[in-house]
Amino acid sequence: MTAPTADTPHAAQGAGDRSVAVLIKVLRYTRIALVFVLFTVLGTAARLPFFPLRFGGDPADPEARWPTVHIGAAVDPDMTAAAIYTQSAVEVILIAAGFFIISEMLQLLRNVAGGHAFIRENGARLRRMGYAGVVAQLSIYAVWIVSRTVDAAGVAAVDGLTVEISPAPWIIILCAFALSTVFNDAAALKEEQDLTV
Amino acid sequence: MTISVKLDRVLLDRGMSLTELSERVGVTIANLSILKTGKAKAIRFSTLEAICKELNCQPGDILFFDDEDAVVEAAE
Repeated sequence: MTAPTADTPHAAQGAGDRSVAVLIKVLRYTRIALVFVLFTVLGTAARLPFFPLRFGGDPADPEARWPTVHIGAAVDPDMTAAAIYTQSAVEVILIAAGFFIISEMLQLLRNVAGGHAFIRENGARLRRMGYAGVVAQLSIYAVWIVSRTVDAAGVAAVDGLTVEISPAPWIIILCAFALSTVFNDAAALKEEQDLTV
Repeated sequence: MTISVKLDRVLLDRGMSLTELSERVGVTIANLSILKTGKAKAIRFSTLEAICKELNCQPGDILFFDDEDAVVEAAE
């Protein structure tokens, strides 16, 4: 995708320019924070097999399994190892999706700051963000199904797993797809305008 | 695009450079290049008027219509 050949790109001015710059900074730090969150999640899952050995506790006793001092992410003492593994897996997917969405958003904002708001690339970015959101949502639903799965005796397949599902993210995802269409239409208009002499 | 712009031929006839035309018409060289290379999607009447005035020509001298479909149909 080549940049439009406008004589003077419609760069964001004044307050808008500043708010975009601030948003870019915030998103950059959020992306860095996400990497640390990923490490705590992986750390929690990775140290799990060693816990009963290291602390010499009874694996059946939740208190022994989970000492009160946590190095990584806070873990509910009632959670079983299977529940923690399942939750860690979905958290890794969510962090990956979040990282991807923030990266796309960053590049989109950089384009906006550079005066190229309405280009097809930005429409494609918003659509990809929407798809990443769908993947994140589906992973949550998958864990929700696992948390609801019981065997014939009524014992949960993965004990101690609690998942909350909300319709709110779907509205945001829908907005991303709608905005993608808007950006594509705007890009078409902009292209036409740029190529009018 | 079935409409083609033959600006360079008229410019050659008048012995005028693109830079000179750009200065006289008040359209940037970048935009005139878009017009000359056939990338333009539209031309404003005001631009056309200014170009015709400076080059002392008719719109038909710089704009041509080639019906590509008709040529293909005739060949078949």
